[in-house]
Amino acid sequence: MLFTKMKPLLFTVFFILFAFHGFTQLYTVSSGKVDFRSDAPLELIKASSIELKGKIDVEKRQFAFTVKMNSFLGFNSPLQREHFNENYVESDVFPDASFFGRIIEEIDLSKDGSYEVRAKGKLTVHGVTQERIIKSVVVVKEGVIRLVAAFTVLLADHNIPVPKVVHEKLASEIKVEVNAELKH
Amino acid sequence: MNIISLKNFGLAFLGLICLCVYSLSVTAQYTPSHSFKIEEEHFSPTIKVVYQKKNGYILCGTTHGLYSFDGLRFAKIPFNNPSSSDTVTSIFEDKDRTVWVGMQSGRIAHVLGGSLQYWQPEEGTPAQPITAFAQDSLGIIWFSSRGEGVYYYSKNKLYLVNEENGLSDMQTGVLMVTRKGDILVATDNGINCITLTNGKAQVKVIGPSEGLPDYMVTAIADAGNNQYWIGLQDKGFCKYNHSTGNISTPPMHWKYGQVNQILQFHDHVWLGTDADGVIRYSLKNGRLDSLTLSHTTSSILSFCYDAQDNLWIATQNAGLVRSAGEKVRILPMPANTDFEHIHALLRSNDGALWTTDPQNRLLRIRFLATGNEVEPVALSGLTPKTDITCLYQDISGRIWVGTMGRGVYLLDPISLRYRSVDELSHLNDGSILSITGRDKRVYVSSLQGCVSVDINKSSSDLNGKMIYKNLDISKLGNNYVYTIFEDTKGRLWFATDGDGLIVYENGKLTGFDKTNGLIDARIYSICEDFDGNIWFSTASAGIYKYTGKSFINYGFKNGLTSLNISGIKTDVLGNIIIVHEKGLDVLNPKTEKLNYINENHGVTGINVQDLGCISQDNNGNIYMIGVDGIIKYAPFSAIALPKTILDQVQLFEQVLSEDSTYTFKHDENSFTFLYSGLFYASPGDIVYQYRLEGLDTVWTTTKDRMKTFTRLPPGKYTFRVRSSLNKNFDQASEAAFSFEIKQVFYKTAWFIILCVFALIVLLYSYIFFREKRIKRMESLKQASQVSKFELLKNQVNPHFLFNSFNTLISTIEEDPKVAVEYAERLSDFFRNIVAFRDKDVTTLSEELSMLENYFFLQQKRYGNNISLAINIPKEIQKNIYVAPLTLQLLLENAIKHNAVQREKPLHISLSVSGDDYILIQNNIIPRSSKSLGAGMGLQNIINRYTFLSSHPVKVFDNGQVFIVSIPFIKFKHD
Repeated sequence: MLFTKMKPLLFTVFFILFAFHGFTQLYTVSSGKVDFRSDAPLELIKASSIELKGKIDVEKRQFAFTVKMNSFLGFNSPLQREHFNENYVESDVFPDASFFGRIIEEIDLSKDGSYEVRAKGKLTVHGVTQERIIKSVVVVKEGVIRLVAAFTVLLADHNIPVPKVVHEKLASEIKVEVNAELKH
Repeated sequence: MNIISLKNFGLAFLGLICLCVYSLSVTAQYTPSHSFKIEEEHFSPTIKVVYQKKNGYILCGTTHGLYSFDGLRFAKIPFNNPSSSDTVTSIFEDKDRTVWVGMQSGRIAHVLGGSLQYWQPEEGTPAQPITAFAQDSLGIIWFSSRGEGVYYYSKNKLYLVNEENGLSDMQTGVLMVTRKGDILVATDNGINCITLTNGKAQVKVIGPSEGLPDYMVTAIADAGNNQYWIGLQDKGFCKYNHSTGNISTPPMHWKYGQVNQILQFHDHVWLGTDADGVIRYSLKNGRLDSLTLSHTTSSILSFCYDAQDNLWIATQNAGLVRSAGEKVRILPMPANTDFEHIHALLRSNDGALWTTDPQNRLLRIRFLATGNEVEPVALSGLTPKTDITCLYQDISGRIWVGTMGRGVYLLDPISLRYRSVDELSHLNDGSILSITGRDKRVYVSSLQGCVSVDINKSSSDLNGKMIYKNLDISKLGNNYVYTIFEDTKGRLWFATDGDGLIVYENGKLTGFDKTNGLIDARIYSICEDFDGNIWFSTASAGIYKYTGKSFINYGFKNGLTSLNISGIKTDVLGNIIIVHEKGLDVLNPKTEKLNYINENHGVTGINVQDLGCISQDNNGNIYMIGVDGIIKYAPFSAIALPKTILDQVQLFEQVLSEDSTYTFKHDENSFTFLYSGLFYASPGDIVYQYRLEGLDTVWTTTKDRMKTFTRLPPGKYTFRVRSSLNKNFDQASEAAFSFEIKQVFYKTAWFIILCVFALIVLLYSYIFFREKRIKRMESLKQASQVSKFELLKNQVNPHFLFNSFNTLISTIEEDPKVAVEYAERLSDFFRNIVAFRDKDVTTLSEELSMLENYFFLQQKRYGNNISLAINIPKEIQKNIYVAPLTLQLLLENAIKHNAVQREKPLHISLSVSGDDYILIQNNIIPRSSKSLGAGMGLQNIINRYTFLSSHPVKVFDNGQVFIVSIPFIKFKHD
């Protein structure tokens, strides 16, 4: 059931990721990092993934980003990582998290400069899609786009259950930071 | 012409009969307005948005931030960060009374604790101007931006509805929450209707293809029944029915440019336009007209209504303009009109106004589509000296003209034909004071007497049949009657000049004058309220209400502005309208609340000299003459009173936040209260009364808007403040603030009780211990005295002395040396007794040395039949104390109570036990007779030791051995 739900979504992501090939205005992530941080009263959990993939079409101001959930490393213990993948985000059922949409501000990312932009798009985590506006700082220099975005993800919004036992160890709000460098 | 000089009026002469008609134009009617501008030191911010908060305050969004306006002054609401500056483009107060301020920069600020604070959602705020806010029934805040579409804020998250959701244009403006809960958005490409289902926004576009006359929608207003007024960029406005989707456009020729704001209020749709000021669309007759104000207001940015029906308009060029709205209209007269010469006014049922000019011609002013038209009608026989004093239109439509010295004329208002009414001889050339009437009967009062005229209701023929009847009231007063009033019960009331009020009822005349309590018996005007009470005005004593039983006077004490009153009328709402030199007082006869129409509404210099200068039309509107022209007053709904608001409470000049608790420490005792009485119609007239319950017992009246109390003693307080437009505070709205100042801890009841209790305990224990000590001391003293006595008694016991001397004598003979020693020991013994008897304690070694002396003396007597063994180490002997002579007494006891025999020697031993006792032990040799005072000595020792040691003296007797244990006294007692 969940698989079938996922298919059109994944299709869209891949469509956006690869359909732009051939356009000159397409930038691709050359290196990217996603950090998350759960700051609960009893435990601070941090993890990061360097397997961020994504593209920005600067002409249409459209973008798509995706990251493999099982690529997150840096947990407090291997057991914690196992819990993260198996109990919370269910990486085998929902392998990816994605965000795709459009930049609200009418800016020309092909020109050098520093821009504060907001992106309106669909954020999918744990198979649940939420429409989000995410604020980001974009710096364009010599054909390289560097972006930094910080936002929060509410576990409840994405149907990620938090067992009562770990209530004090897992924050209901996960802080996420994305750093990416995109090249033409 | 002055009323008082009427009596001195001379005869006028007949003039030429001529009829002269010409036209002249009159400037358009206008609504008086006031302009308010924000004056800062180097600039004057332009007000872009006006918004009235639920508590009544008007907020103004300007090119330089936000201001609050109390009707008199603008107060800047600063940014909490002083370096911030922004142009306010929209203001909104949500259901929780949070104020949202949208900015040109796209940012949004809230008013928190008296300052503006930028709102910082995680998602960021738009980069385009915020044009409008709305809150739907679920509490979701919506706002639109000029360029990015519509945002909504739900559960702490910001969402955007834009072209991806089907929004037809990103240039979005006014938002309107419909009854169903969806949102109508004004865009540059039609109306967009946003429906939010399960977090998904769906957009339906209502554009030209749906019948919208224009692409660009610039304003939306509620029209009731799920219908909305839609303001358009170029094509005026239309009505959209949200239930049916139907769009209807009133037939009109729109030439006023872009509609910036639209509002339905009372019977009109008000449109603020970009080019032509405020345009009104009448819901009654579908007519469009422009609201002409004293100030030229071309570009209207925003407007709102206050609680007193004033319209507040933010204009591009004239600042914030207040207009009385529908209430007051002024028709200026031609510049050369001398208002001193207007003596009469009538509004006829065809809408024309009739008045007089300096030549005593009748003037007809008609309001035609092509403009206003003034036509003078010269009545033959009237000269500049024969004034027209009153005008009356009867039920058939004819106009009655009363004159000074030329009697009554009857005029056809359409053909302007007229005739002089000369049928009744004494009205001929009479001086008419008033013409009134009810239904088919007309009443004429003149200096020559009063007449009633029965007319034909249906015929307006000037020569129609009329029946005249004289009304003679001379029995009760003079015939100078200012006016005659027929009430709903058919009673006739006469307002006389000095003889009070006279009523004609069931063929009987009854007079009311000073004997009935009237202060002034010159009555000018009479009317009746909806409850049948008769009201009348006097020349100098205000107005009276006659309930049928008693007269109730209303004057300054009730809040009347002026007692120079020319007339009173009952309006369609049942209020009593009092016309005086400064304007109108509107009195609700039931609640006795008063409202004022005065210079704040542009009403000044009312002609109160001529009683005929008040007219009332069939709709209840009242017309008067003022210095600026003919004033029309349209009665408006509720009489509003000032609303009292406690703006701020300060503790030591620090603003108390609204969520703080109102209990303060004893030294937090200096409070400042800032308050306002909001009444935008005439904010300068507000008077305040305050009272601090817990300190004041009476109200203090002030015009100040701030009160400070310093060094308040601890207690419970309630600060109450109320505001009123006059000295009558009976119905005034009140604001209150309750707080408590705690007592300092050492003054609190519990602390004092505790202290008193502690003191009692301390005193009691002192007395208790002191008594105990004294008792103990006394017992000790007594015991030692007893022991001393016992000792002396024993030691000077003659037997002891006999025995000792006998022993000594026998020893002298046997062995003189021993005898000397014996005598020495005896004397030592007695010296020791004398030395010890005053002491409480003595060292064990001293006691033992004395004991040895004593034993020596005894041994000389008993020989080897007694023995004493002292098994106490020397070091212990020095450190241990005993009560003096204790051991001696016990040794003596042992000798005394036992039969000392050669066969059964008495062995006495002294030793120390492990638990700090001295044991005196002897074997028991029973004797046949008990010696006297047996047990007295031992008891004495036990008693003494209870004071000297916490351990008791123990006595052991098993018939074989007798052991007395004496506790150590380790430290020497002084």
